[in-house]
Amino acid sequence: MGIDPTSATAGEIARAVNAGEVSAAEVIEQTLLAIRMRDPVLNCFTDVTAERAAARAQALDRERASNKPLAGVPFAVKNLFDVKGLATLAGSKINRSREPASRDAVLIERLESAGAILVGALNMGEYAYDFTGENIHAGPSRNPHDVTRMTGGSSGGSGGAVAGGLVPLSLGSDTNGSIRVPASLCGLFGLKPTYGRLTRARTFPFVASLDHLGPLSRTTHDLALAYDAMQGPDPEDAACANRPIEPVTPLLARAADGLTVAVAGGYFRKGLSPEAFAAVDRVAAALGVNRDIEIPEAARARAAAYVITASEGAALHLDRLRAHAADFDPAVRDRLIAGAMVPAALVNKAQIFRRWYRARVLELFDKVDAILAPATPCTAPAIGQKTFWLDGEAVPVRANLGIYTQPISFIGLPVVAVPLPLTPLPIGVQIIVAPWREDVALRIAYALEQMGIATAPTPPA
Amino acid sequence: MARTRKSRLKTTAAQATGARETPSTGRKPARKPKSTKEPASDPLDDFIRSAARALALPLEPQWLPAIKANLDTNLRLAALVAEFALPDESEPAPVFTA
Repeated sequence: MGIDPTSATAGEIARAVNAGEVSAAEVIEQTLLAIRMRDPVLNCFTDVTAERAAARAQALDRERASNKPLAGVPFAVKNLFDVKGLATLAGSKINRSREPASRDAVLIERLESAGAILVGALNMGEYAYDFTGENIHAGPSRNPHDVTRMTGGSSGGSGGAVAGGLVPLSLGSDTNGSIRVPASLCGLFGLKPTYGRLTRARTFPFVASLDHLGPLSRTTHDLALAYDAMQGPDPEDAACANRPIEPVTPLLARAADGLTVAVAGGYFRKGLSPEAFAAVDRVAAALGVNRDIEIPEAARARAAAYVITASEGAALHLDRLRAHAADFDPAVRDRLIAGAMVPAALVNKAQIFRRWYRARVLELFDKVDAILAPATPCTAPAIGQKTFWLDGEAVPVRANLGIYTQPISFIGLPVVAVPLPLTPLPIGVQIIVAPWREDVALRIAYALEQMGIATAPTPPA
Repeated sequence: MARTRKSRLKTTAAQATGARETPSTGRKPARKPKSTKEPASDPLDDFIRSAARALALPLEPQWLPAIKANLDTNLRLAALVAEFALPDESEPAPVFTA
């Protein structure tokens, strides 16, 4: 076998499968073996769809001449995506009693149309209300760089599975940072596209007005391949924009030429660990960035996102709280009950602020093409750690690992999180761009990768 | 800050639960004996208990501290947003389309 699917990128696997150097069946066999060997420790998978994957690989091998962009690429999805034949858990015990999904989520269908092969569903924080990757029912997903540490969440299995070499590509969801936080703590590239860019049809929601879906991978090129395969309008998702597919893969080679970049100041330079500081500064230096820019009222934006999340999340789960309160993770239950008690007047204030804030931030993109900010305030905390130090104050990990991601997803801006391979643990930097300009963020990420600044580090054996 | 929050919660709890004052009977209220002065209850605890009843949400006594901590954070952050003055004409972010 000419390629090791546990270290190869999605692009390399697809090229080898399309060239006939390896069969999709061999790739899937090796992938399933890696999952069997490594996942008992990493705890990223909640279901492995081995039979389905093997059947799909054989079918793909029979039609090899089709030359698909993701031919034979194994991938896995956060278990809030519908997978035909599985109950959509969304990290919960309660959803185990749901009927098995009758059809895959649309994004799974689109990736498989491009030749990718689903190999399973991934662990996540309960109902996505989490930044840790811990799960009281399934156990914590573990960080491949140090298995005593968190993956970050809520797309914890999506981070651990890719960083651990189980799959080259995964899908996660990001309401307040749940792709970017695990990307940062696991040392991966993660794309949270513009709100409304990728359809969420047939996935379990959390906060409808903030929910995004997107990919995690070990290279920018893989992000772009997956993103291009998943774009396109979808009437099944009320928030999905009616925009044509705008392929980004052919644009990556333009890199950062002609782009103006600034570093987010103020709020985004407060409370950072030395590692987070170093990561942003290293990226800024590599790009020749020498200007700061103030994202106005970012602390209030984070507060407003927090309040809307609490309220909308509680609304989603109100009946489940009444009927099955004892079956929730207590930490999630208590947050949801508290969210149900936030007066509607205050939630509406947050929605009014949201529009004002969006307008002010969009003005910044008249001056710059991209803004750099930390993805997390620190590297991966220990599993079980309840608090960490932020700006001289001990604050809960579960609610605060996303303080730098929340003000950005709050107004749906696209972001690529890029990994800095610091020792002993990686950490991520956000590349934030204007709505619908994922191409700009991906080009900068690609440039940083070409310079050797951003790279997904290989975990210890 | 704590005093501000306390007064806000008193109002909020009453509004959220639809609580009304005890209807007047037209009689002079009985004066409480001086010796039965009760310790002041925490307004946020009262609000949580009342809201849980009004919303038919379960509430075990041992859950109260964590719910209170979470609600306190929600209200503190909501206050940070609410105190930011914007014109009355400002539209919320979601816009309904007919």
